[in-house]
Amino acid sequence: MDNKLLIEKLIDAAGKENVFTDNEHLIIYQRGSIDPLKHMPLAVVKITDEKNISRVIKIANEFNINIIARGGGSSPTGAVVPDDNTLIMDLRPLNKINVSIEDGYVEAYAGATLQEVNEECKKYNFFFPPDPSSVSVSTVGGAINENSGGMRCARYGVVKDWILKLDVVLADGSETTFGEAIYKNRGGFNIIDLIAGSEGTLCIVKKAWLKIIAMPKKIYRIAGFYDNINDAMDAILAIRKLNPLILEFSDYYGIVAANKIRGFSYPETRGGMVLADTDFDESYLEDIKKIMEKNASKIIIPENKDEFNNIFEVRRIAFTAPGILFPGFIDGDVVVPLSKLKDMINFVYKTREKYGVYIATCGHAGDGNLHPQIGGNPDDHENWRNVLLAMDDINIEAVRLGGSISGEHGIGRIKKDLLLKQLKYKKQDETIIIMKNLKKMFDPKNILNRGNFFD
Amino acid sequence: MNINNDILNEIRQAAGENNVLQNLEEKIPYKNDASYMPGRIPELVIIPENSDQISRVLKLCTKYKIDVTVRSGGTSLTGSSVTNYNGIIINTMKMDKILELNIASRYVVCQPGVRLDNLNEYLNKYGFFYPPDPASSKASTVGGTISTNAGGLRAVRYGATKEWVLGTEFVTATGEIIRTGEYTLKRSAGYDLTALIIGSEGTLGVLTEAILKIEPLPEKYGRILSFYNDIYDVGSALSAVKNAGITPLIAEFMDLKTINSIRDKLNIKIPDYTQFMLMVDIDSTEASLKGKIENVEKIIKNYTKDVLTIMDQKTMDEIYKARKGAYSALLNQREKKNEIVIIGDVIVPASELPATLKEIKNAVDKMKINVSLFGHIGDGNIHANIFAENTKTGLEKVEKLQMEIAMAAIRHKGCVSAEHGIGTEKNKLLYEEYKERNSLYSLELMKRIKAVFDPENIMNRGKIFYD
Repeated sequence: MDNKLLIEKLIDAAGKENVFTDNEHLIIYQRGSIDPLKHMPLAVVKITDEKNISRVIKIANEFNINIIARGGGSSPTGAVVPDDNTLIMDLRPLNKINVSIEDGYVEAYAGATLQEVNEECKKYNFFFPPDPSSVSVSTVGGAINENSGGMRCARYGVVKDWILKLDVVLADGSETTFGEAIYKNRGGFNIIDLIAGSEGTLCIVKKAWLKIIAMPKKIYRIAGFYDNINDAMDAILAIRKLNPLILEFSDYYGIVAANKIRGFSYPETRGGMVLADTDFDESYLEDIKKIMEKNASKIIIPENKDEFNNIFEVRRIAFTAPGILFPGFIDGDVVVPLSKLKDMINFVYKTREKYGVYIATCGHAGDGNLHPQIGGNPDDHENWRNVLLAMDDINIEAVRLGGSISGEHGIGRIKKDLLLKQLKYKKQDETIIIMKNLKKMFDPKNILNRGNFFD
Repeated sequence: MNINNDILNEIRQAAGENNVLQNLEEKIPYKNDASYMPGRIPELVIIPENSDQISRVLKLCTKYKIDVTVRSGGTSLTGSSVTNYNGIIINTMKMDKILELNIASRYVVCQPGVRLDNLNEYLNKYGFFYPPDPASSKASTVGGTISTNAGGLRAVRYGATKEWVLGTEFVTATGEIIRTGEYTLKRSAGYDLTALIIGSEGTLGVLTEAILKIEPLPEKYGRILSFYNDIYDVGSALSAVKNAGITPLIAEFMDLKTINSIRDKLNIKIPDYTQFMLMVDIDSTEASLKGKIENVEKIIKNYTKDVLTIMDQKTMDEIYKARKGAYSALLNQREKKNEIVIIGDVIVPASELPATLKEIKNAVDKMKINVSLFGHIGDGNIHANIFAENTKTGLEKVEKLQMEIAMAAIRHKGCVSAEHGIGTEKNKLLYEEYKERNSLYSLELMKRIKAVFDPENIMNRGKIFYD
């Protein structure tokens, strides 16, 4: 292939200042956030004008080159990691945001971060509820493509539940629109929800219209520390009935790590911590407290802003702790029916014993979504082998319990085999064929994020 | 293709001898649904008991290119449950079981023939409910409401059906039985085929099982009725409530004609100047309901002097029932014997509502047609009920008015269907909508998606897409 000609054409289409081929720039785009996977792209094109998306895709078609649309690059599953012969389209510069309060939506280009979106909405006392912990970097386009979740899922669901309308660019460079900026819409098949979670394999999201709502007036926060993990899980099921704003969990290892990393002194109870927010009224806080009082050895209701934030940090740090404490770690993202939460967490504990590895588990327990994060040393062969085996066991157990290998982080490149295993286990071979046919229909030349989902 | 004796025998064997209707008198009820769209009497009606039978029948239908339409409650308002071809109708009403309830995991598993009111009666015993609530809930089914992505009164708070389906068992047109989605509250495992199935109006295959998300019943709620002379004030009052950060459980409006049709059932005093009534339900904890209601009353009083709050459950139930029966009640307001009432279903953004209503009113006045309005104003969803003579000229007039109303909605950034679907009634309007927006390519993609599930185009041919 004639790379020189390709680069010339890209420069023609997107401007010299927006096309990068030097190692120094490319190196930033070779990987996502957590996984060790990496691969150098062929070139990077910064999209500063929305019309350039289509132009670049048309060139990619001509040269038969793989394209990855990238926003914040925070995918934990390698969804933004290049394949061979890959062109990265950096959509981050496309970040215009426009809020319409009366019609209840925010109109945002793919490159706007969720934080930027929320800062804009905040001016009117509104917000966009989905809040993956990477809000400061993850973008509208990325969050839609990954169908992200976050802390507030227990009440507000995932990104998919908030999309009204999408402007997209298809694999052949043509542009079209799905949905409308209204709250109910029957316009044929629901393509928006097909695109949400498709990880850049069906089309490129250019712009989105997202539902927003008024911010809660006051948030009450409470944390219960448990000696017994089964009691903690029972409390989660009971609190779920009170429709909390968030309902989170961190296990013992997460609390210990947070205390160590941040110098906190929260109770290091063996059964972990259950954290709940409610925005209704104080009676709900009382009701949650009553549930916790049954078995929690300690209950904390933050009395000032620092305490309010710090206790949240415990849950947040539990997620990243293995990455801070160990040279390498892999991210778990299993989801099970709520009634199977107890089985899942106990299995994680057994797996830790079996392989002798470090696992800190936290998660959006209110949705049945747990993040068992496994830390280890990739250079220590024996240890890293056990890390990978442990994660495999955990994923397969989630499927066996009627759950899934991914709640919100997606499949990307690192869970491809697991996805196939899951669909096969559930006797969904036919479903795989339909998915592959859909991919072929949207992207006949297989140039959109090749190597994701399926081979 | 014609169904000859050999094929008939194969189908009978595939479906089970007792599950096939052949006699004319048994098939006549399948000629119509709740819409005014003319259907045909099908060649055969099949009432299967399980997905294996459906799979076998569909394999044959794909092989012999026989048209198939799926039907359950028959409450479609756009003709999606009647056939326009010489084909078969699959009636899923024998598959009417609630298979599993899992309170801890917040789901219920149902067969397609379960009626929504029956499902909710069952769930209410456990303090839970399934939120989608179309006015036809007494007759409409889990299968039908999924295939049309039905909305209803509670959609302003809980959204339409698509937000409540976790997974399905589905038989594709080629007879493959697939499972989509999970029993979990979220998942990301490949493309979301469940989302595609919802709202596909029987054009991809047959839904045979659904995993539905359920919610605890609201602790306590009250109802605020308010009365207006001008539609602008109705919209402004509701906007003010929503901008104060309060999302009502339901927010309905109705015009005087609708009020009159259910006046005897409402049993409340309605001020003389009333042209429109707004009905807003506010829910809360027992402890703070009173304060919240007072707050909403105060906001609404900036727009009208007459506000009536009802807290008594029995009275609230009666009013709710009356509102849900409004469409049927309007049927009694017909002046001539051969008159029919056709219910429209457009939606616009909240800010465009007053201007859109004004344009609709102008179109109605110009054409001198009797029309009454009600709708889920919280979503910007307007149902214009058009009274017309059931004659060729009458129906032509309706079609013209429907087109005018649709174009008004499209001009105001809205859509030609909010919750009733497309069927055959609106396939041309849908085409116009996509054309107007320069996104006909989106419709083309949808057709190709249909071909992935249904290569011979046997499923509900002629629905959704305008050829």
